[in-house]
Amino acid sequence: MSVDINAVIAQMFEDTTDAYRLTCALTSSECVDETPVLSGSLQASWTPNAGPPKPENIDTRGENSKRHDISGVINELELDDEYSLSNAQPYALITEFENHSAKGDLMLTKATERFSAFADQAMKKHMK
Amino acid sequence: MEFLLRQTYYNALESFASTNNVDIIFPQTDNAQETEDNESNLIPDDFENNEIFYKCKIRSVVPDTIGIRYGLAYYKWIVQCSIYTKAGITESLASYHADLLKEEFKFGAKKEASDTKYTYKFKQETNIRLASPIKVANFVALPCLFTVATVR
Repeated sequence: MSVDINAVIAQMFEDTTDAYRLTCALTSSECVDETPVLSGSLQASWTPNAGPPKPENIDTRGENSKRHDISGVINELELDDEYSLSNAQPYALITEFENHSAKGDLMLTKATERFSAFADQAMKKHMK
Repeated sequence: MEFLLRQTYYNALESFASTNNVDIIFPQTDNAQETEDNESNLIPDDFENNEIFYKCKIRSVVPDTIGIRYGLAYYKWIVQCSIYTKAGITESLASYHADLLKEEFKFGAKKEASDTKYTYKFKQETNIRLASPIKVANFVALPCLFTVATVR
């Protein structure tokens, strides 16, 4: 009986990358889903980026039908990539921290608080 | 458990505020009117003339299940205490009070609370984290947060 150790290691890296992507996806969707909606601009402005944050605002009240492709960015991630999710709407901080909306707050804080739980979940799914 | 935790930490924050002679707003006493476009209503009228005050709230995070074998749920809360200072006052006042908060609420500190049936232990899981200062009407808010979890 023989085991190709290189193939096993390659498989392990692939699984870990998948788990990392799943973790990022779960964290991002938690954050976006928790964001309160009035016009939808705040929710639409969550900008994913592989690397440092590069927020780009979307005003849904204009004729802008563009949306950020969160899953597209996440699917391109590799293990050593950094992932960031940012929002540069001027009222984002007030909504997050200072109780501006009764519909919800602390969306990013709650999502990052659950990051390790999401990572456990993703690893369990991919490491059989 | 939810109620006990809120009671425990709101009481701790209240006694911290009274030690420092600073007013504090709790969610239940917050009578600021929420409107989407009028920022000045974010501060309750009684506090408009204050130089400094605290505003706190506790939010629960969705419970996570730890361990398939035990199926225990792990509950977490985010305790937030924002320090509001009048815009124009130097930042050192807010950061001085943030330091006082850091002294009071330390990583690993445990608190106990009991109802008629169980005694719960709550543990502070993080140090105080400061977020960027935010301009709210005539004030600048400095959000300070930490996380609390139940310990079995």
